[in-house]
Amino acid sequence: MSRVVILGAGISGHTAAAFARKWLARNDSVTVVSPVEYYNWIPSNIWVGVGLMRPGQVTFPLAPVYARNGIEFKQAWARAIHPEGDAGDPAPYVVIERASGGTEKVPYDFLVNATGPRLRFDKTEGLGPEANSLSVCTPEHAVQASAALDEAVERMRRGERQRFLVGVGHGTCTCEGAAFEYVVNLEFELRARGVRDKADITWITNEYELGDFGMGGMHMRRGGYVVPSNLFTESLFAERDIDWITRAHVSQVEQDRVHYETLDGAQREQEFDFAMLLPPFSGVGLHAYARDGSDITGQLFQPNDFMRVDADYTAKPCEQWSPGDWPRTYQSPAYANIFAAGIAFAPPHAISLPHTSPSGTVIAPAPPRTGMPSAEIGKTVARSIADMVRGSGQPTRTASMAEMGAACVASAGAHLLTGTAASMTVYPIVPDFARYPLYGRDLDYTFGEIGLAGHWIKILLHHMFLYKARLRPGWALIPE
Amino acid sequence: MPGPDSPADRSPRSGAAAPAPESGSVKVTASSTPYATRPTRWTLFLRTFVPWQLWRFARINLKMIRIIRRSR
Repeated sequence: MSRVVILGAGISGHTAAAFARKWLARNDSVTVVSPVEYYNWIPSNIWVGVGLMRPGQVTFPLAPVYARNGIEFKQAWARAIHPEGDAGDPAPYVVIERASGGTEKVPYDFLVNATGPRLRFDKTEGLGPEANSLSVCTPEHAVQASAALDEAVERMRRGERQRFLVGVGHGTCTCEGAAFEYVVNLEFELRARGVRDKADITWITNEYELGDFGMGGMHMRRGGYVVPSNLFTESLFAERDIDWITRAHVSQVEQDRVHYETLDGAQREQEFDFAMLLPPFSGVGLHAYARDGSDITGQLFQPNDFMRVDADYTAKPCEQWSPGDWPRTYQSPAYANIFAAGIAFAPPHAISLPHTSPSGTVIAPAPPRTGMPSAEIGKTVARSIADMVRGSGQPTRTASMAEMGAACVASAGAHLLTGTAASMTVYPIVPDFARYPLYGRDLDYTFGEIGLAGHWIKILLHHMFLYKARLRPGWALIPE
Repeated sequence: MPGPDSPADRSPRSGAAAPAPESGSVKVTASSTPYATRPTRWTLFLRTFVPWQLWRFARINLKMIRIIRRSR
């Protein structure tokens, strides 16, 4: 009998747990540890944040789903990993802090760290829902954003002008795509509520060019040319009268303005009445201890608290970045029975080219690891573990982001007949200039298109992925 | 041997565009920028024209399935 413990029940952790349960024998155990009692289909938080969905439509309780499928669920925070056990017992275990109080040792034979990100609002003074800006990272944050939007709309109906600022709240943020979805949905919603003429909307981003999305942008064939994605994003903003600020690091958020630095070193301000700014991420801050009790956190984790896996972490200039730097199995180099999946694994470096202001401020997006790649990595790790439980000496499956494509549908307005969304596919996620000279990607598999069809697909994905996450009959047939 | 202007020589990552010199970014006002690409009326019409979008719905889904298959 083997014990598989999965830390985290987000897209990656939940996928890993579901497939591990499916592929392991009944006498093997699968345990999920998560501080949150519900599953959240995060891509749809955008619609909660503009008041089009309730939190209950993007979440469901995990305990009944896990109980029905033979997965043990512990609502708790993972605090420390003891990969060599302790002086009394060499069996590895994780220390968790239960939501109901108290701590517990959870022994494991295989461990998957899928803890996702810690939202680092603290990295920018005044950033976050407990200070001066809003977020849509959790359903609770999205509800707060929706209420603030309702208030702003009321003021506009009374004749006041409102200034909206949407984007990222730090120079090293990732998830620009989510903020992008929010700003275009916000604009659509203001039109739908008949107050668009009273709103000034500004997008603020750390991207060097619009449409970078932390992937170094992408190219696609359009109208007889190969065009960059900034053209695509820029046209969406221009037609919707959304202003934009690129290459910006937000250094402080006050009640009615942000202070930001741009790549030329200039310090600027932007006033707002409503600001939705996403935070930068780090790992959740797990610690690791050797059998003698010494701290080995540095062996398992990078300084940003993301877990080290089979990537090449050698510091090197971007000229020497290679697709081979990216992890394939997500196995810890320190302990063969520990894996990291989804946002929790430490990427070897960025995908977008790095830029630094004269004062030394890094202003460049971190690489995205959300959505489809996250789920695919969770599934791959589960397969490898299932095979290792059956006797394989090493991971059997790989899922490198340099060999994997991604499909993304970014909502740009939710309505069954007048809504639109940007549908994009990219292959591979990490550009490979040796295989695809000039653009780094296969243009037969990389495309983008805006239209109502994208909105239908977004709706379809919302229902399909929630069905799959509920582990309803046939769930495993639905792709990641 | 590639010449000095060949992509291999320009490129920091065997084909990627060289990083542009660092520069700042001022706010771009959408309503007054003459350089932004904008969709034509025909493009805007097609975006929500249901028969065309039904066709695109099928095509985009097929493209996404191809990506998923290739990723495996």
